[in-house]
Amino acid sequence: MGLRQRLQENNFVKLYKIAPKSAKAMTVIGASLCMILIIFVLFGAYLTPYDPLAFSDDILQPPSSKHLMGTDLLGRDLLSRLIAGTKYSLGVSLIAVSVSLTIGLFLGSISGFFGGPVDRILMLIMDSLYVFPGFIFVLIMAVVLGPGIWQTALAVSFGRIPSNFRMIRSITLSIKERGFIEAERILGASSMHIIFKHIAPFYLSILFVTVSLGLARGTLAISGLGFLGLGIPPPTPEWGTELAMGRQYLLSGAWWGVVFPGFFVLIAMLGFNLLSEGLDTILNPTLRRLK
Amino acid sequence: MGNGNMKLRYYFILRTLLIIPTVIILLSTVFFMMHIIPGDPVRVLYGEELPEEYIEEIRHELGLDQPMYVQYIDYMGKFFRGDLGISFRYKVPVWRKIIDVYPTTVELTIGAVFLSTLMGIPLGIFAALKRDTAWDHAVRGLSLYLYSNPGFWIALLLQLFFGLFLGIFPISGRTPIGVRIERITGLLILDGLLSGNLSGALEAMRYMFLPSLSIALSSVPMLSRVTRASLIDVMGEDYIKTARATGVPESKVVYQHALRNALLPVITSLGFSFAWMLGGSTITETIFGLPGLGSLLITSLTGRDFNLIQGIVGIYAIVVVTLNTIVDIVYAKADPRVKF
Repeated sequence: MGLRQRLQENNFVKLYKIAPKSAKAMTVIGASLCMILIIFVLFGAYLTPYDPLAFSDDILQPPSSKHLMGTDLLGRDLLSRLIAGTKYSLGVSLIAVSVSLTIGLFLGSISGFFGGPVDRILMLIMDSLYVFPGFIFVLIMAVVLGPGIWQTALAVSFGRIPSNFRMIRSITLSIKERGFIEAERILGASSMHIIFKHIAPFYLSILFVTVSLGLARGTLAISGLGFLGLGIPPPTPEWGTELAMGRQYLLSGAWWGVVFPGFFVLIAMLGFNLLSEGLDTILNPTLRRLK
Repeated sequence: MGNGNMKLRYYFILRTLLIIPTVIILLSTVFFMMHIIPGDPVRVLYGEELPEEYIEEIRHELGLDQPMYVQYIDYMGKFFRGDLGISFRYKVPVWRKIIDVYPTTVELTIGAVFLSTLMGIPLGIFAALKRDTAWDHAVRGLSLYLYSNPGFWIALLLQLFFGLFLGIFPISGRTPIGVRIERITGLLILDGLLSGNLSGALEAMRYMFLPSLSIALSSVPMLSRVTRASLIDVMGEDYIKTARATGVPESKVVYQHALRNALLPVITSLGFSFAWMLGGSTITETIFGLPGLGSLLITSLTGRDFNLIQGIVGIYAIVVVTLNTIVDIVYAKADPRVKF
């Protein structure tokens, strides 16, 4: 494992060197934005100027030196709530990505490797789900499972399974025809051995891109659910829920309640999208012409 | 060639027949998703204090006391005979409810497709012609930025800026109070024009502008990117070199020779982005207070109106799958190089 990891690292360094400037810039900016969010997740409790749950008499204050992003209807400091909310938006998104990736990995590798009727049935189901707007399934799942952190994660993961499945399946298909897999088979290696030992390493090449793309989509879906009141319930400070609350007093001219929560979602989306886009260009030099 | 034609026809028939299992799979997924967790729609609808015997009676009336597979077979059979059942909440046939609201979603989607084409394709052409220059990178940056904006945030910002600060566009509803447009097709803009009510049509258009724009802005990035990639691809072809070598002016090469072929993938991606737009329209319609399929889906979801949810998703499924099939077939027909 150590050797393989080192090889992969060297490979990445090499690919990074020959990558175009724009891809490098995207990766670096995206990674920096993600770092800020990770700092919010890990050290959020020390960074928030106020207790994110504490009420105060400063109701609906516009941004000032005292409250950098203003306060909400209950006098809570918005900046503190949004920093504290990073943990929920990102954490739930990460759970969702892991769940959908695990299921996609399992079904996709089986489907691609074994082929036959199992593959055909799985393909038909996944293709059907793939053409349909995923967010609608996420909505239905969220309603069926009810509000809550784990329920939201599960609902969001459901929307990503078809695309993960397709990706893993297509990689498996392209690898399994190669000579060294054939050689393994002649030597009498079992199917599971081949999948886990020899095909799985190739999944790593798309892992980072898939995960950061999934995190972007996940964050979007979670805040969308929160915005509709179907996600993580208050008083937990989640970005989408904050946005929905800000919208309630939008007509009174309190623009900050809408602008800042959305801005946090934008930062997360930008970070993950830049990262996945940059990594994709660096790791797949042959695709560069199409970008 | 004859053989190729046969294969093409075979592909078309197969592709069309595939619509049926795809729709069945989508409907089944939704049906089982909603019936796995035994939330009681009757309780949600009629409140906790209703006596048990009434609840039982209502459950029986709605068929909810049957085993799941009986409900499933019953539902599927009825769906394909065009009977979508009765909405629990509104007490009218699901069909009626859908026919009432679908024109809003159609107008919204057409508006969104129109606006995103208007912005996305020129942007993509521009980026392709300025390939690898600072302009190209700027367009790419703009695309990534737009793509990263949550659609519902864009909608709220548009409301805030154009509606509240500038006050030039309405932020909620389909028409101002007091404006009546005779219903012919249900599409207000079209009805206004058909009945000679020009000012009504203009008002309806004004009300539809911000919602359409907010959906369009999130599909511009994909459109401009596909246009750029496709145009660059075509510009490298031999026939373009030939045209250039024979002295055809560059603008004619781009707009007459290259663009015609380059637009095929763009049209395909527009077809696919339609599904994305339907997903986004749920939140957008809710934000702008538009009575469409998307906002109806949200209210029926929160009210656990099973028949209505299944009806709307069923309609979505048929529309999306049929559209995808048409796009695929048109693509295969128009481009003989496509393998299938």
